[in-house]
Amino acid sequence: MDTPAMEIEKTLQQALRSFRILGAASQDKIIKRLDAHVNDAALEAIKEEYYGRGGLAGRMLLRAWGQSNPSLGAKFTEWLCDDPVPQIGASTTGRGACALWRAPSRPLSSAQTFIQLSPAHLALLEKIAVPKPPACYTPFGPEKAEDDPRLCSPTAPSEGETIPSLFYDKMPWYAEISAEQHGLFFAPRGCGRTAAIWRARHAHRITGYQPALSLYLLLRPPFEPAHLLNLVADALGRALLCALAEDAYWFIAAERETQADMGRFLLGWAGDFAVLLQRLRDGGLPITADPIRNTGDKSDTFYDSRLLTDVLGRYSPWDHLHWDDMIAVARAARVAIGKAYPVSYQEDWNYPIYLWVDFRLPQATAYRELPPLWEHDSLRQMGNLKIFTQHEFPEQGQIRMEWEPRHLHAMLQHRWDCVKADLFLDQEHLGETSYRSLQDFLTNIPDTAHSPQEVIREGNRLLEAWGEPLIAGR
Amino acid sequence: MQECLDILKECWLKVKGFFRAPCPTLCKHWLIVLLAVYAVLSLGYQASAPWRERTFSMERTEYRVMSSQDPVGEYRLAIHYPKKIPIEAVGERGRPLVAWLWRASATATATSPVPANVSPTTTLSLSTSITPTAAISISSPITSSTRAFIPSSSAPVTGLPGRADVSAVTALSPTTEITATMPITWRLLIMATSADTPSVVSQANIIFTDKNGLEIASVLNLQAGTREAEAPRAILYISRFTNGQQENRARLDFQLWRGDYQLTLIPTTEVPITVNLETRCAAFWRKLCDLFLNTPALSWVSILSICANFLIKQHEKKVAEARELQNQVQALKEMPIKQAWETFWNLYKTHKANDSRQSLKRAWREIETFYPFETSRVIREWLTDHIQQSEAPPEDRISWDEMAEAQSSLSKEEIETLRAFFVTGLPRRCDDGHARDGN
Repeated sequence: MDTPAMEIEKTLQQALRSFRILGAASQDKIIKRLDAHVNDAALEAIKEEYYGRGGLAGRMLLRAWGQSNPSLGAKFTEWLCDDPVPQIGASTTGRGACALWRAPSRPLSSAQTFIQLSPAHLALLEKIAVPKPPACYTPFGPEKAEDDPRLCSPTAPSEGETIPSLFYDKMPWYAEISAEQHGLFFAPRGCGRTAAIWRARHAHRITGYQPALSLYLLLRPPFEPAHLLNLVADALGRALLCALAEDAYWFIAAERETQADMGRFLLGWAGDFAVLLQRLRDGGLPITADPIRNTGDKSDTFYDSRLLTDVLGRYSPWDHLHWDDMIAVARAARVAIGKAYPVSYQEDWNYPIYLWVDFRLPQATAYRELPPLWEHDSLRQMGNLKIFTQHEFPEQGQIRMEWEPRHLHAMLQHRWDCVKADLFLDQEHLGETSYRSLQDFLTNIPDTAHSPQEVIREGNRLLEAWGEPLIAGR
Repeated sequence: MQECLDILKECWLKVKGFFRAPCPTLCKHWLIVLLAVYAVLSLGYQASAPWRERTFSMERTEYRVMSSQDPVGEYRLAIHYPKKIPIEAVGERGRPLVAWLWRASATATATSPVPANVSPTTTLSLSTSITPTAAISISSPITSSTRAFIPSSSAPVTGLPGRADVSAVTALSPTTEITATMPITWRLLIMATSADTPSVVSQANIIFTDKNGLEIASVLNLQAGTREAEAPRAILYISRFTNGQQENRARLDFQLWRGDYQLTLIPTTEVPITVNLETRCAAFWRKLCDLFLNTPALSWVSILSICANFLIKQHEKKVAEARELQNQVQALKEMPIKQAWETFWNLYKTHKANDSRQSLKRAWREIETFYPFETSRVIREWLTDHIQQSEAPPEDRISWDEMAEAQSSLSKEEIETLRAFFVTGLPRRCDDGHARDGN
């Protein structure tokens, strides 16, 4: 016979499963039935079943239950503030599923040097530091930041902590990048412009450690200013999609009017419902192409995704595109996100919006196009406008992304520490001469060096030359 | 002999056609069962005298010709009984079941030609051995006779309608006596014989009396009971005109204030043969025995044909129903998803037959394939609206098994989960936050 605690747990599970099966419209009936059989004295069980393990559906049910039960509602808000996106149960739709955020995978640049580690060293790497060591191992990291699978760390680095992210965010200008204000950045080639943008976008996701809505706008030839509205709309659509793929709670829990604006925009942007679903699928949501045939075991995340598609299916696409409407949608999204994750924005319910502009136009065009872009009212109204360019515009108050030798040394040391290279790139393995040369390279960055890309390339070249004992098959 | 062969040949063609028709196997089985029954009855009840003695016969039919004016010209009584007399079997709601030519052994005696100076009221007697049965009504002999009595020199009808013109109208008032051992419902068919006569008889005085001359029913105004059909025809149904006794003799005495009408009196039965065939009650067997064994005029071939026709009609009925269902299924695809689902679900609950349900399910699958997300959402929202607690009356509860088999959006496991949560008892809440068993 089940104990009372087990019965409570079973009832809660049945209710949640019924809610998942029937969808959001059933919440009132489910809660009515729950109220008759479970009271909020079973808070721990409710938290564990619905908040801890319940995923999106659990939070939706809790939210609805909290609206009819004030004491439970207060607890729910408290839980949201403590941990806005519970890790458990959100593995697919949650933080790791942001495939849309990632750059398209591409082969590593052939100009780079690699060390193919022996099986023994691969095993050592697995043991000490790297969960999935790449077959081509470059201790100082790939020269191109976007090639680095460890560019991003899931959490904010604490003081003195070494995290397995090769990105070095201690540069003074990085604070300017993260600041909630507009910024125009001058980043010479090889100085980490792309890495900085990707890093900042990662940190300023809705579930990042600096939560925000991030729009990414890549401007490259051919560029027509008349198409800017479409480009920004595309950026907004992708940003909302990223946010949905990470966690759709903010969208489903949004007020109906706000939700309608965003839903209609998304459908209009994608073209139709089927294309939007495909894009969500590309973003990592487990949306089946044909839910009818999916009659086997359906995962919890399948039901969570269906909650989202049910909501999206209510709306018809936008048939117009205006700056004002788009700005309104972006603001509606920031309010919806703020209300859904009241972690530190409980007063105005607003999450910041960042508009990351990767300005890659050639110099001749850049001098004509960049000033109006930088002064563009609508872009500035949308959020914190951050423009990164390889061209220098002194009169525009540009921030220079410069590297001094000490910064490069700190960056290399950071990478060295991250991959725990000193555990095997030591004197014993490398031999005395090679080891000393490597240490010499690390400590004596030449004054002429200004590009982290060049330093990394040189470091990797030296490792290839000196690390012969480590190389597999030699 | 040749006639007999003709009948057998015709019957054989009918049966052959029946077997070739795309009728379900069930019909053929029925036919075989009926043949077997006939054989059993023939053997088993042949010696049962009480049944053989009973007859349902219309032994004597009298027609009385009345005229309000002097007859002019000759009356010609020309009764030509055809070799094959149309028989009309009437089933429920007056719908004809069988239209079949059957040879009657009828004889008629009459004076022919009728003298020219026939009195205004002349009674001609006509004796027949035509035997109406409980299931069969005979219309043609009376019709042909009646038509024969219409004066050939009747004046044209003018200035109608209205009693004021009664002098210009040829009045016709036949009296019919029919003896039947069963309660009979009568139907009077009044049919205009020329196209320019009005289709609705406005007034008539019809009195029905029993064998003792007591009035048992009367109709003064035909219009109230007249159903307008295609012109120039009017049909008056006198339903349930019966005294409920075994010996039921009715005398119809009616006058028409209009000429050029063909009168048809159709006695029908209160015991539709269709019901009896299906209920297999004892009374039916008895009547069937009577029908088979004590009715000389009914050959087994005709009975067989009646049965075959009945089965064919049943089959046609099924085909019509299937066609109607097919139309409804087709219409499903044109409806909005929500309406389509509600219609589909109602049809699914109504049609219990396996093939009907399969047809419905195929149509719904097609809709589900085209609109997977919409159908899934609509079904789940509908289920949310209609889900009932265990205290709901049985007719309002969702049939979970049917729901599971009708659609594909929700699996059986999911349906079971919902059933367990909403219908099966959950542990009841108590004050300490724990749950106890409840219903």
